[in-house]
Amino acid sequence: MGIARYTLWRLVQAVPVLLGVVTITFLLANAIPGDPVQTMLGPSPSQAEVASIRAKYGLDQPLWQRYVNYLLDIARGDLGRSIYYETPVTTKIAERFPKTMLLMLSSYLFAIVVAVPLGVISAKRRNEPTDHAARVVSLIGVSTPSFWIGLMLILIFVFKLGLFPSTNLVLPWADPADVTGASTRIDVLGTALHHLALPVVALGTLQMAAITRIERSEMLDVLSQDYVTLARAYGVRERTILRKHAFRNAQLPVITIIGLQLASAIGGAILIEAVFSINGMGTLILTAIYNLDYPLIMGTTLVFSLFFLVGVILTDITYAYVDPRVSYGSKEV
Amino acid sequence: MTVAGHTSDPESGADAGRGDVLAPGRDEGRTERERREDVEARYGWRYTLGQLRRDPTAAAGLVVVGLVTLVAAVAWVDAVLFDFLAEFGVFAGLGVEQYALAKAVWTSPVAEPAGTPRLLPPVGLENQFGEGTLAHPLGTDHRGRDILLRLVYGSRVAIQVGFVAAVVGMLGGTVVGAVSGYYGGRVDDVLMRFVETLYSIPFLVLVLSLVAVLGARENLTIIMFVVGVVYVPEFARLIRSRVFSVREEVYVEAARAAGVSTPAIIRRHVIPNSITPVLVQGTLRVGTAILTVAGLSFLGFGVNPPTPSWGRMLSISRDYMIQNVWFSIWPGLAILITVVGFNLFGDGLRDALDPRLKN
Repeated sequence: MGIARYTLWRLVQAVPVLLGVVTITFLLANAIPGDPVQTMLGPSPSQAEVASIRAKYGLDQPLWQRYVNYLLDIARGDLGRSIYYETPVTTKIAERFPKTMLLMLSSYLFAIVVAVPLGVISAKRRNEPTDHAARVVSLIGVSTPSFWIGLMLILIFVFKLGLFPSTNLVLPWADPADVTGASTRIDVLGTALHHLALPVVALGTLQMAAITRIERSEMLDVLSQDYVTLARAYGVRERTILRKHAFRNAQLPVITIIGLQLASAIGGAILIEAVFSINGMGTLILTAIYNLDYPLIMGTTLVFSLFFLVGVILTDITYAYVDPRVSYGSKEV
Repeated sequence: MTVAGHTSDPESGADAGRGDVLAPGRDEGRTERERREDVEARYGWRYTLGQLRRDPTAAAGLVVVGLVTLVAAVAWVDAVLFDFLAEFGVFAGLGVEQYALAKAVWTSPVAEPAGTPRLLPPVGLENQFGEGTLAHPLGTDHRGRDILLRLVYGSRVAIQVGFVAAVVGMLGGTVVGAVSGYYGGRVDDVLMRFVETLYSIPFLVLVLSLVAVLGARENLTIIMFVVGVVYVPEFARLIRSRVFSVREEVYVEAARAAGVSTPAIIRRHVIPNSITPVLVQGTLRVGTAILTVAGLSFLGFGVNPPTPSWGRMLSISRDYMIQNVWFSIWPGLAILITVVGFNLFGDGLRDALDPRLKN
């Protein structure tokens, strides 16, 4: 089976999982104890008001009917109307999603760019001071709450040094007219990076630490393989061994860990958005939960899961593409 | 679900095996007892502890875990047990109340003492409000309460949450994974599809939705269990992959031939032989559960004020970062040190239980 068919096969496999997620989010949202209508209308609404709102949001129908309607709506790309914002959920998500996406992709970029060289150097200089330092950094990285790193960065770089802004993000592709103090596209890009720096470090540290750990242990593992010993015996230069023999073979588990870290990166993004007051998907789901806005809870949960699923599938495909040993048709053992 | 994604996680130790230690031929000419002692020496708890002691980082982790757990236990007895016993009139007439221990030694972690300056810095350091005093070594919070004492009592929430969540995840995951792996076929398909679905909703999103649905924004007990339940898929996959290999072992086949019932085989053979990676993962998960619940309290989900918790302290400290930076530093350090302890101990445990994974 070729890579295209494998990709297709992975997408087909994702359909039942996605259906399961839809079902779970629907059941979750419809089990909310507080009455959303009550939340909307205040303490003493009239009977007629309650009835009209119930009819408007379809709450007067039986559960299975609502479920079928929900599935049909999703198939049409309609996630319902937010009770809190009184706009379609999809509009709200479309508005917030780019910022979260920007934050997460930049954090991964930061994590990979820092972690891969760090892991390789750490393995190459095993048990030397550089290695110890790298291991301490990665241990602290996986053990520190990301939101606290965010708070400390704000403390140092915003309050003490005044070098960075503390709130929100600016999208690099925004219109210069909408960004304060920017007149050209370059200005917008600069402002965007300026705003992005602190949240990216806060969110990316965990990923960076996790990737460093795995990169180091994989490099050590590969460097102890027979073919490396053989290459050394043949007098191949150490640098060539590292680059040609070890590095390539050590990257497969790194790809896996990047996929596995995605769920925690999404969780981290929710916290980091709260710390830096970024109006992305994270603050959207929190608003939805605080206000028992169940169409919005369902919508955001669904989009987060879809995002996660797509990420995992992309990781799998990358893995299969990079590693010729993976037989595309094989099922999990 | 995946070809690569979840089966080959080298961190999980899922493929751990120790079969090569007992090479064929080495048992010749030895008594049964000698053989047993040899196995005990290589596999038993005493051996594991010995290995841990020889590994300085793991030992440091164990010390941190032990100390924090001890502190948390004392705080727990003081905060919960005294309260519980007082309900039954055990202390009637003695005037004992919640946080009696803390009050007897020092001051209550929740009372707002009159006359104590608010937002004091740590001893010997200055901020806008003057210099800290010895009575409050780490300073005071926005209500004049002692920060050190609030940290000590906050450890109760962290440790309790960490252990309960990890144990719930381990038990639930072991049951689901063992059943799924042993029976295979239809049962496996159904259970694994369910596990996969749960696994496809990002961790914190699922926890937040569940907590919201259960109306448990300020109910720590429900939050602990929710975090534990969300760990179930991970442990289920881990134990399932082990069960697949154990299931094919000769001794399981022998037990089956001898007419031992399936649940008994799972309980007596399959689980004990698959438990090593689960224990290691469980230790590491205590740390992540502490991080998760700190994050939840930071977002306003967790214990009711005035009960001290590290996450809540951090969330409050945000409003006072300019007046007193220390208020936001201490709880973060407490979380960091505790989680580092669990991570070091967990890594050490993995190395000790399975030396082949050691780098």
